[in-house]
Amino acid sequence: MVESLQGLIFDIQGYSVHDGPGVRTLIFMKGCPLRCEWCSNPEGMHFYPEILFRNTKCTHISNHCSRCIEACPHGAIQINPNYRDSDDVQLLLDREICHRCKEHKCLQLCYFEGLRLCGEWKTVDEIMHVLQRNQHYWGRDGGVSFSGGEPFFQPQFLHAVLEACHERKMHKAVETTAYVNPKTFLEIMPFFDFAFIDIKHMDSSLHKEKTGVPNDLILENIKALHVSNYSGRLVIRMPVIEGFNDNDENIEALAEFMKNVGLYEINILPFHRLGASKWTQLGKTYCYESKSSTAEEKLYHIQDIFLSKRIACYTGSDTPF
Amino acid sequence: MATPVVEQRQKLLAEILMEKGIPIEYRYGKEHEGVSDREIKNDPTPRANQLKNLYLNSLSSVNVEFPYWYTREWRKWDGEIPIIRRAKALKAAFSHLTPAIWPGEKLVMGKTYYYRGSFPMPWLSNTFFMAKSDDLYKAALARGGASAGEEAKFGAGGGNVTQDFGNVVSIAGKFGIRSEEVPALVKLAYEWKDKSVEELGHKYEMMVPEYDLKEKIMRSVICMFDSGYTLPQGREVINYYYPLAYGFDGLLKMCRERKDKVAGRADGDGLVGIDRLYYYEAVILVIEGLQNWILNYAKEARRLEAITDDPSQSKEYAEIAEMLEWIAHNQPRTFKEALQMTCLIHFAVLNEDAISGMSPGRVGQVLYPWYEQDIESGRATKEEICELLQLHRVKFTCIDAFASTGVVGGVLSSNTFNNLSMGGLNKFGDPEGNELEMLILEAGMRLQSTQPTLSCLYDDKLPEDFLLKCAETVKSGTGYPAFMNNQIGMQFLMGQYGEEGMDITDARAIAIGGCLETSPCTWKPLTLNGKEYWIPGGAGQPTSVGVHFIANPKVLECVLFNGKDHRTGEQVYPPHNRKLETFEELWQTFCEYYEMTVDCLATTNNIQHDIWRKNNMTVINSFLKPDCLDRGLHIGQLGYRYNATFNIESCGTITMVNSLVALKKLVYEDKKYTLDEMRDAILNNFGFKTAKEVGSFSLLSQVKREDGAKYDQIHHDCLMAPKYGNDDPYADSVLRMYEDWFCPMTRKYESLYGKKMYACQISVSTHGVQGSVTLASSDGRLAGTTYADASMSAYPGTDRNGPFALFNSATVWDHSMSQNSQMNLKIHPSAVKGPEGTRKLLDLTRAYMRKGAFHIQYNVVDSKVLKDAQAHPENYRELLVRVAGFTQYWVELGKPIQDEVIARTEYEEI
Amino acid sequence: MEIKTLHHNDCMNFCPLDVAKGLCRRKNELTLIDSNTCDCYVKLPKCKFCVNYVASGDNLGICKAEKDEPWAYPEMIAVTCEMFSFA
Repeated sequence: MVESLQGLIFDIQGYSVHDGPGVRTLIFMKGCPLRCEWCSNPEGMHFYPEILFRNTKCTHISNHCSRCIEACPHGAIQINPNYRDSDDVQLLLDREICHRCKEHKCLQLCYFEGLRLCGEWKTVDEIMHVLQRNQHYWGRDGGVSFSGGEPFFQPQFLHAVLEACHERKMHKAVETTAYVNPKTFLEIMPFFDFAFIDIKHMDSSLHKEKTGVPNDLILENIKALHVSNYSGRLVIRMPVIEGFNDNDENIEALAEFMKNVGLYEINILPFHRLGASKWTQLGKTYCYESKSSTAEEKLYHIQDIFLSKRIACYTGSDTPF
Repeated sequence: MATPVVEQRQKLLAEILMEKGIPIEYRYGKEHEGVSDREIKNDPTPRANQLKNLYLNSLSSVNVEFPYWYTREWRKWDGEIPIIRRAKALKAAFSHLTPAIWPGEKLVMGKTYYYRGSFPMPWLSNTFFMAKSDDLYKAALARGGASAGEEAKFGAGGGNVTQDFGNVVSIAGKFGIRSEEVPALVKLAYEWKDKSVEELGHKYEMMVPEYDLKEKIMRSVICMFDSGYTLPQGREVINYYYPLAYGFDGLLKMCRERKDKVAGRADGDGLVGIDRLYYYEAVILVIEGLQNWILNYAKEARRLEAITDDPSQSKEYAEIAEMLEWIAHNQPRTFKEALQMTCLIHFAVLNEDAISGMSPGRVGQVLYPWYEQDIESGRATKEEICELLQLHRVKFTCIDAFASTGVVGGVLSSNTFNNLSMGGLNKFGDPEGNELEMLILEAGMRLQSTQPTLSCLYDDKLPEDFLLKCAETVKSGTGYPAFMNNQIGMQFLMGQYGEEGMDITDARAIAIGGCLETSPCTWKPLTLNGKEYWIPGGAGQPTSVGVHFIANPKVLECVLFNGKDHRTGEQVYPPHNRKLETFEELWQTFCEYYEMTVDCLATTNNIQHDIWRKNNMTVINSFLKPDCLDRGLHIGQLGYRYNATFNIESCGTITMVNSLVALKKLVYEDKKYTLDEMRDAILNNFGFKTAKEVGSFSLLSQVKREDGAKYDQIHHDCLMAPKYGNDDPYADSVLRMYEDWFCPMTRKYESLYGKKMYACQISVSTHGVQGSVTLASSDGRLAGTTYADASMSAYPGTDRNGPFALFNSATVWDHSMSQNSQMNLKIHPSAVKGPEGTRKLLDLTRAYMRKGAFHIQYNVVDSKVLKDAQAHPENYRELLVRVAGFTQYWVELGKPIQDEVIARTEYEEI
Repeated sequence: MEIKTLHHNDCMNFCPLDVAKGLCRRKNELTLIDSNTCDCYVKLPKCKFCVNYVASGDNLGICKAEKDEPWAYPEMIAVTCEMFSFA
C-alpha cells in the first residue's frame, strides 16, 4: 500500500544547518493541531493545499494584468477596492471558495508567480528520491528532519517514510508539538534519533489561549516518552514570546518540569517576524506584525536561569549540534 | 571576543553536557583542535598592515623605463640571432630598473619602482598606442596645465585610474601614466611598427583561408580575444627550483659547462642540436641581467642604510642589503631569503612577457625545507614566518599586468591570478597540508587581500585539521581557498599528457595555474644542508593559450538566425538554410557552427603563437622550467617537459544548456510554440526594452516595454521550462550530451606544437561582456544581460531545490575529461556560523568532491552588504568578493559583474 | 632644455608610490609629486640633468653618450645608468 500512500508537503529544504545535528534536509509537512498566534510557518497550519498571493510579483497595477481575475470561474479573485499604494495588496482572494476549488485556472495564467500553490501531495518514493540524493551530502552527522506543521498530523505517511529512511540508515530528527495521540506518539517516536519538542507554556489555560489547545497532552506525552526509555536525544524547544512565556515564573516551572522528568537540554528560540509576509500571502492578519525581535539580554537572562538549574540551555542557532 | 560572562556560560554548558556523556568533541563553545580562534588574532601585524594600506592608497601606475631600455638595446643588435638579441634586450632592461625600497619592508623588489606598477610591451602589442596616439598626446598636453593639487578620487574603481587628472593620463580607464612620459610611450609603440608579435602575426594569419570567418567571429564577440599577443604566457605554474637549489652563480656555472659540451655538436638532432649553444648563451645573459637588478636593489638598500637616522630602520636596510648580496649569487640560507628569492623570480618572469595567472604553485611545500630547518634550529619563530607570509601577500597583491586593454578590463577584472596551491599529495602519495601551509592560511586570514589567491587541492587523505582551517578561512569572507579535486585533476593530467610521459608520480605534483587551470608539474630533488627534499614545481607550457572564450549562447543564437548576428547585422557564418525541424537537427547545426569557430580560431592563433615563439620566446621562464636547462632548448623548441597545454575555452555553458532545454521542451516536444514564434520573442526581447535603451546591462535593472505584455506567456513558459541545477534529468541530460560532445571534440584540434588541445571551462569575467552582445535567449534570459557565471553555477535564481540538487546536476558528466569545471556558490554568513558551521561547510564541500566534481568556491557574504557597497563604494575599499575563480576588491569590479554576484542565489537559513 | 619647476619626483629623498604621490624619506610623509620641492631636496639623476642629454621637441631628446645617439626622454630616472653624469 506504500505506493499509493501520499503526504501533503509544503516545502523540502535541501541545506539546513540549524535543525538538528550536521547538514540536514528538512521536510515540511502540512497540517497542525495548534494555532499559535506567532507562528512563523502559517502555511503549515491547514491540511489542504492553499494559494499564496505574492503582492510584489503581481503586475496588476504595473501592467494592468487581470488574467487571473478573468480566468476564475467562481469570481473568487477581486481587485482590492481600498488599494492606495504599493504597501497594499492589489488583489483579494475569497479563501472559502479557493479552498473548495479543484481547477486553479488562475495559477496557470499567472506568469509572474504572483499566485503560487502551497502544498503538494507526494508519495513515499518521491520523498525517498530526494532523501537518497541528499544522503550523499549530509556528512557524518546530518540526516533528515521532519517539521511542519506537525509531522504527526499525517501519522501513516510519516511512519511509512520513517521506515524507508530507517532501511537506508539515515539519521532522523523531528520537530514536534507532541500534541499527538499518545499511542501513535509512542509508536513512532522510537524511529527518531533526535527530537525537538516544543513547550510553549507551562500553564495549560494560558497555553490554550495562545495556541488553541491545552498543554496536558503534550506534557503527558513527554513524560511517557521518557519513561519508555526513548534512546534518542531529546531537546525541549521554547519560542520566547514577550509578555506570554518569558516571565521567570514560567521559566522556573518549565525547568522544574524538565528536572522532574529527567531532561537536561533546552533550545530557546528568539521571536522574529520572518513569517509575517506569509501571513499576508495567505490573506490573514498577523497580530505580531509590530512586535520586536527578542532582545539578547532577555535570552541570556532565561539561559542563566536554566543553567543555574543545571539544564543546558542554547539560544537561537547557537547550538552544539 | 568572548566576554567573561559568556565564557562562564559556555563552561557551565560544557560541564552539564559532559556529565550527561555527550561526546566531548561537540562541546559547546570550543573550537576544533587546529583551528585558531579568529576572534583573538585576525589582524595583520602592524608592519604588514602599514604596507597593505600603502597598496590600498596606491593607483595602478605605468612607466616606460623597462620598454625604453629593452627597445634601445634591441635596436643595437640588428642581425643577431633572435634569442640572443632578446636576451641582450632583457638584460639591459633589468639592469636599468630603478630600485625602490619602502620603510618597513622585509621582502623587497617589484615589477617597477611604482608600488602597483606595470608597463606595456610594444614588441608584443603596439597598435593600440599608435591608434590612440593623437588622443594620448592631446590628453597629455591638456594635463600639462592642470592644477597640481587635483587628486584621483577613490571610490568606484578602487586603485584604477578611470580618468585623467592632474599630470596623469588614464590609459583604458585602468592605468595612470605621467603626462611627461606619454611622448616616449607613443614613440616606443612606433618603434615596433611592423615588427611586433601583433602586427607580424596579423600579417601571416591573414594568409589562412578561414581568416575572413575569424574576423567576423571576433567582431561579433563570439570569441573574446586573440591569445597570441595578448597573454602569450600564464595560467601556468612557475618553477622556483633551479635558483633555489643552485643559486644564480651555480646556474651560470652549469650553463657555461653545458655550453662547452654542446658547442658545434648536433648530437643527432639536425634541427635544433646546434641551437643549444645560443640557448645557453642567452640564459647566461639574462641571469647576469637579473643579478644586476638584484644588486641595484642591494646598492639602494646600502644607500638608505647610510642616510636613515632611525637606527632600527637603518639596520633593517642593512639586513635587506646583506640578504640581496647573498642571494644574487648563492642558494638561500634561511626561509626569509628563500621567500625573497621566489618573489624576485616571480617578478622577473612577469617582467619578461605579458602574463596573467603565473601561479606560484605549492609554495608551502617548495619552501618547507627552509621552514623546517629554521624552526628546528630556532632561527625563526612561527609568528615571524607568519608575518613574512603576510608581507608576501602584500607583494603579490601589488602585482599588476599591462595586457592589451580589452583583456585587462573585460576578461580579468584587473586581477592577475597568482594562485597558490596547497594540500594534495607528495611524490610518494602521502598527504600534504603541512605546518607551513597552515601558516599560509593563517596569513591569508589575517592579511586579507586579493593575492595570492589560495587553492586547496582536496584529497580524501588530507588531514582534517587542515581542511577545517581551509573552511574557516573561506568563512572569513575572503573567498579563498577554492577547493579543487586532486584526484580528478590527476586523472585529467594523465589523460592529456600521457603521450608526453605523464605518470602517476608527476601527476601528484599537480597544481593550479591561473584561476583553476590544472597544470602539469614535476618533482625535483633539493638538497639543503645535506638533507634531501623533493619539491614540486611547474613543468608545462602556459595554458593561457589557444582559443579563448567562445560564447556558447551566441553560437546557438547564430544557429537560430541562419548564421546572422542581429546585433551587428553581419552574416557571420555561412547560412545553413535548414528548417531545424527536429532537436537533433538543431543540435547538429550547433555542433557544425561550433567546430567551424574552433577551427578558424585555432589556425589563426597558431600563427600568432608561432611568431611569438620565433621572435619573442621566453628566456627566463625557459630556464626555470624542466627540462629546458637539461636539454638546452627553449619553450618554442619543446624544451618544456609538457607541451600539450593549448586549450579551448568556452563561456556561458549553462545559459546555452538551459536555452537548448527550453527549445527541446517548448518547440520540439510540447510544440507549444513554433521556432518562428520563439525567434520573434527573442528578437523582441520578450517585450522588454533593450539593455542599451535602459542604459544598463545589469540583470537587475531591465524594464518592460509599454506594449510588452504580448510576450508574457512565452516568456513565462521559457522561464518555467526545466532548468539545469535542480537534479532534473530532463535538463541535466542536455548538459551531459553537450559535455560528451564538447570535451572529445576539442581534442581534434592541434596546437602549433602538434599537440592535441582540450577543454577549459571557466568564465573569468567574460560572461558579463559576452552576455552584453547576445540577444535574449530561449531560457528567458534578457538581451544584453550576463550569462550564468562559471561553467557549473546555476543561472541566478533558477536553482530552486537547494545546493544538493545543484550538485547532482553538476556531476552528471565526467569532470576529468576537462581541464576544469567551475562552481561558485553564495552562502549567507548565518548558514556557516560558529565552529559547527565550519564543519558543515567542509561536509558540504567534501560531499561535492566525492561526487567527482572538480571545483567549488564560496562567497560567504550577505547580499545586503553588497548592495550597500554598490551605493557607497567609498566605505568599502577593502571588501573582497569571489568572482569566477579569483578574489577581487569589490570596488574594482565593473557594475554588470557586481550585479551578477548580487543576483546569485544565496543559500541561507529560513 | 630649460628646467621648469622642480617636482618631488626629481628628488633623491622621494620614493614614488604611484603616478600622483610618493614618500618623502626626510619628512616621512606621503607627498604629491606635483607640489614644489622643499629644502631637503637632493637632485635625482635623470636624463634631463645629464650632460649627455639634448632636448629635441616636447618631452623627447637625444642621448649623446652612445655614438648612434639614441632618443631619450627627460624624465627617465638614471640612477642605474653607467653613462650618467650631471650637467
